[in-house]
Amino acid sequence: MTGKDITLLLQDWQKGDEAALEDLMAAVYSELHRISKNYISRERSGHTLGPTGLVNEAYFRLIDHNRITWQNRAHFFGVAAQVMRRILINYARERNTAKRGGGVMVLSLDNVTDAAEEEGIDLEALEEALNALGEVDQRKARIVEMKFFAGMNEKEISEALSVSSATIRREWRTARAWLFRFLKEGSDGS
Amino acid sequence: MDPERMRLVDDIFNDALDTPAEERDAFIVKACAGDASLEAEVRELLAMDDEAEKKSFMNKAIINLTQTGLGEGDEIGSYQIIKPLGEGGMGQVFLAQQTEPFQRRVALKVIKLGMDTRQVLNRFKVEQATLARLNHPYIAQVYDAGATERGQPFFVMEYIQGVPLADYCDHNRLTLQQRLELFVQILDGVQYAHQRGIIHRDLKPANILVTTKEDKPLPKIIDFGIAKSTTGDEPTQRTVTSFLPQGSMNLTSTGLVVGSVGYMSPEQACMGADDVDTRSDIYSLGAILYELLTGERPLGGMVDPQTPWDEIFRIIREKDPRRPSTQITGDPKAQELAASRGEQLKHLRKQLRGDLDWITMKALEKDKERRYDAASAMAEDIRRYFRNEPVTAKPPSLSYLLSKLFQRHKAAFAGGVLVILALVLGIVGATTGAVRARKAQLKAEAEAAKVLQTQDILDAFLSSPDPTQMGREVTMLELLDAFTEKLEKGELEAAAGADPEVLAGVQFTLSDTYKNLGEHQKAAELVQKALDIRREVLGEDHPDTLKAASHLASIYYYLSRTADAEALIDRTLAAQIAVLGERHRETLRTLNVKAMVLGRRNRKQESLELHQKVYRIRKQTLGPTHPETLQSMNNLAVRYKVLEKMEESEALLREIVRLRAQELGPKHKDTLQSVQNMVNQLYRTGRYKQALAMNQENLARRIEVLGPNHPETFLTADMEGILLIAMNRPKEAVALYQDLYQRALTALPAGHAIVRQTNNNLANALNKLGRNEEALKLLQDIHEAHGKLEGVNHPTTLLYAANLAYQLYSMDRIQASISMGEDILPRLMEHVGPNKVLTFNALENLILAYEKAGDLVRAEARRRQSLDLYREHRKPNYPKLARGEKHLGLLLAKLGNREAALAYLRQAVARQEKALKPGSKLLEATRAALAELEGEPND
Repeated sequence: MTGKDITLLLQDWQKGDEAALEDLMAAVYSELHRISKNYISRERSGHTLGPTGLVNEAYFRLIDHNRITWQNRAHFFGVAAQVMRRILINYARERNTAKRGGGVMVLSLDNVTDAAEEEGIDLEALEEALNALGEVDQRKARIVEMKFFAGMNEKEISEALSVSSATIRREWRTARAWLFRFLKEGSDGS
Repeated sequence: MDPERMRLVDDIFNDALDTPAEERDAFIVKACAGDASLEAEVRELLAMDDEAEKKSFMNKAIINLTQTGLGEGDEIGSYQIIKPLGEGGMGQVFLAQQTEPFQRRVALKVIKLGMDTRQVLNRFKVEQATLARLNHPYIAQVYDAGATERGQPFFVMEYIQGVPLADYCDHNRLTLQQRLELFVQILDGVQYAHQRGIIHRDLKPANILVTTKEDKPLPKIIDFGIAKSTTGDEPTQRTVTSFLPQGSMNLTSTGLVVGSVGYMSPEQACMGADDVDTRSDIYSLGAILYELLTGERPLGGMVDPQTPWDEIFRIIREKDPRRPSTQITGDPKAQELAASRGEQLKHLRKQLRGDLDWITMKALEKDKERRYDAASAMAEDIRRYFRNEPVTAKPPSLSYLLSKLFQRHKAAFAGGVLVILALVLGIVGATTGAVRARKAQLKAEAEAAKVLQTQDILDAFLSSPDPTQMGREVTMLELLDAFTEKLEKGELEAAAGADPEVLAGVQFTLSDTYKNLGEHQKAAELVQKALDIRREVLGEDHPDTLKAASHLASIYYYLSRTADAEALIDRTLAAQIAVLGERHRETLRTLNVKAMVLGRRNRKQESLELHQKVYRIRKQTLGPTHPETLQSMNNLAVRYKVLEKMEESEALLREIVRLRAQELGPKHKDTLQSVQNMVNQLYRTGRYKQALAMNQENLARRIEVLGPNHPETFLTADMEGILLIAMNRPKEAVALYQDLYQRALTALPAGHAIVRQTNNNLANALNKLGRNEEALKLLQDIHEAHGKLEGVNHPTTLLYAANLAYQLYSMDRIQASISMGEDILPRLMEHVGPNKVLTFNALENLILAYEKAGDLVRAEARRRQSLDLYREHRKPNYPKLARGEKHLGLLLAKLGNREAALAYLRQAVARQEKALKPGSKLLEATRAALAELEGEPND
């Protein structure tokens, strides 16, 4: 898929074409995969490519920079956040089921999963909670995704979702409390 | 929980959080208005929030895609971050404490975005030695570079506690003189770096910090050389990094590009062209000076954060900023501006006008060859200004201005209209002055040369719009009409000093321009006048008279006045051969027209041979790559195609591509045009896949060379859509056309023909997708618009009408389709021609419509008419002829005329047996139809 296509898809998605999102994610995902494979085959120094470097490289490869506006950039990272969430949950699941080595993304996600553990976050449980949240309020789930799985700030998220920064801040706060309760109840129950 | 309720919870929960703790309880009770479960939910979430907050639940992102992820207290090697200083698109800048080998405060810049770590570091290692030697009081020192644990490159620089240049000047109300002195210091610093081969690439006020030393301002240029080392070699990298302002410390991501507009040189705003050198920095310095003088960035007013990058780039490449003295004249805040420079507005304007205008504009030249060749030269000019000596920067001469206008017109067709007006009117003035001078016999030789030169420019300039390449430019035409009207009224005759020769020259040029715009009638009238004048003044056999006659003959050809053309050609040719010789350029032009006329007369072999002859002589006398030689090759290619010698034809087209690539470079616009001809050839011969690949490549090049919004680029993109439709990929075509349309709206002048052309093709694609209502609406709109602009009988208007009739047919609105088809058919015959495919197709559609309506009698009559046209204007093996005969046979069978039906079907089979391969499906189908009818009992 060329930069032009991706940029078109981003614009479609921006205009509200939800079907474009699936195509976008597929494109981003395969580009990430390709880059990381290339990276592994080139790299000798043992230096690992983190998700940030990876996604940013994908960004520069995938986007038609002649046509993109900064709003598209925020959108792109919004998509990347979803992709990272998927990659990460797959990775965490594989790790938990001790099927390591066959992971799709050969990059240093251990740091990330370790960081989650240190913060006391069970990624699989969070995934379940996020799915539940998404059913009630799709936008809140997206905000969490962008903030937590991509480190986007309020301004960037507001650009990606075309709502005010204040709304982002408020909805994030509710979403976080909501998720916290969901996780707490889950662990209490089990 | 349903979404509605979620919103309610959302609001109350957040409002509660914003309410002071002591009032919160009362607020919740009131807000929930007795809804107990709502109240419980809010309270529970508040409790959860409290707990989450205490545990810092999810406060830190586990992946940071857009941020460096660094903050206060973090250590990077021997540097500890104290606080963030600023953020730009490429990186974050921190104040940091260096602990080893000695303690000092440094600015630490971490690159965060899309940079290939290894590449940046490798480059930086190369650069670092040079940068470390960059030791100048006005340049912030670069100390060190490395990579963070996460692999992000970082740079360590001298920490400057300064104020950005523009802020410093304004806060301290620096006078013009003080500003210029400070600017000269900056130039000295830049000169120092340039001498060591280091280009900044991103000079702008935000990258120049001013501190104070002993009460005097001390500028410090930051980020020197950093842009270079972060610029990769790969095209993807280059397109991004060559314009991204790496040093932007105080800009948000949204303001990023906008922040650099006006400081970035035109060559940096060029995709893929990496010919940035020290003079690119000179441009940026010119822009900084501009802002110091006027308070505005050059071109700054033309963009905003929503402007797409390609548009910003186009502006940088094509738009000239106003001179500083003019800029402040138009500024509503001019009084204030002058006051902040300690000046009266009137006085400030006077100070800027002249030397300072010229110095600034010389640095801001689009062509870097015309800028100062060194920062020191610019500094020296400012010092000359201080000393009241003449500066080297000069106001541009008239001839320079004209050539510049000419170039710009060629590069930027869309913006050229006003330029043309200025030029046309300006030239007449210039010519007049020169003519008078000649008549007065003052400096006769030099002035005469000037007249010729000016005339040449006028010729070249006005002849340049070529509709086959650029699409028709309506406003240009209107302008020409206005000008011609003046000419007719004699207004310009007076201005031309009543010199009939000059008048004839202008008429000739105008005629040529009209010809190129396809306005052949007007072209003929004008050149006829020029011819009459020249016959009278110069005589029948003067070369200029013959040139006009030859020109008129070629216009007759286009007007289909073939006999007139023939008569004129014969006379003119004889005289030209006698006066100029057979190998003269003008004679060859006439021969070329003659060859075209022969082609029209269907004397194919003679036409081919004459074209070959002209080609041969042109090749010898003008050289193999001369435009007229290439024109001959093109004409030959057409002749070969007519003779169905496709291989020869294609070989020539390829050769043209090769020659142009060799002579002009593979990316020259004329080379790209010949590639486009090749694409068209592939398309016409049904090799869509090859055509598409070649077209896509050409599109990329045109975007690179001409920019994405150039009419020629649009036409190439349009071709992509045509090919996609031909390859039955209408969905992609629709996406493409919709995008094209959006861009055309902003990029092209309102009412531009390309917009309608694009929409016509979009309608076609939509039709294929069954999106009929949309297609219909589009066609109605463009049909109406084109009719208003060009007249209801303009060939393109009729094309849109024919498509509209077809669209109605597709929607089963048969009666509407029929009345439309009947309405346009006679007009097509008259204005497009009875021998044209468009007329054929409109007629075919009309036949289908009658048949669908059950009106077989009318269908038969129109079918017979179409067969007559095919027989008259096409060869016996024309595929539509056989198909038409088969169709007529079927129609007649339905009408009960079995004998006639059998005759036509047999005729069709016979034709197809000759034209098609045995076993062809088409042929088999015709045979089957015949067999079926033969098998039916004769009643």
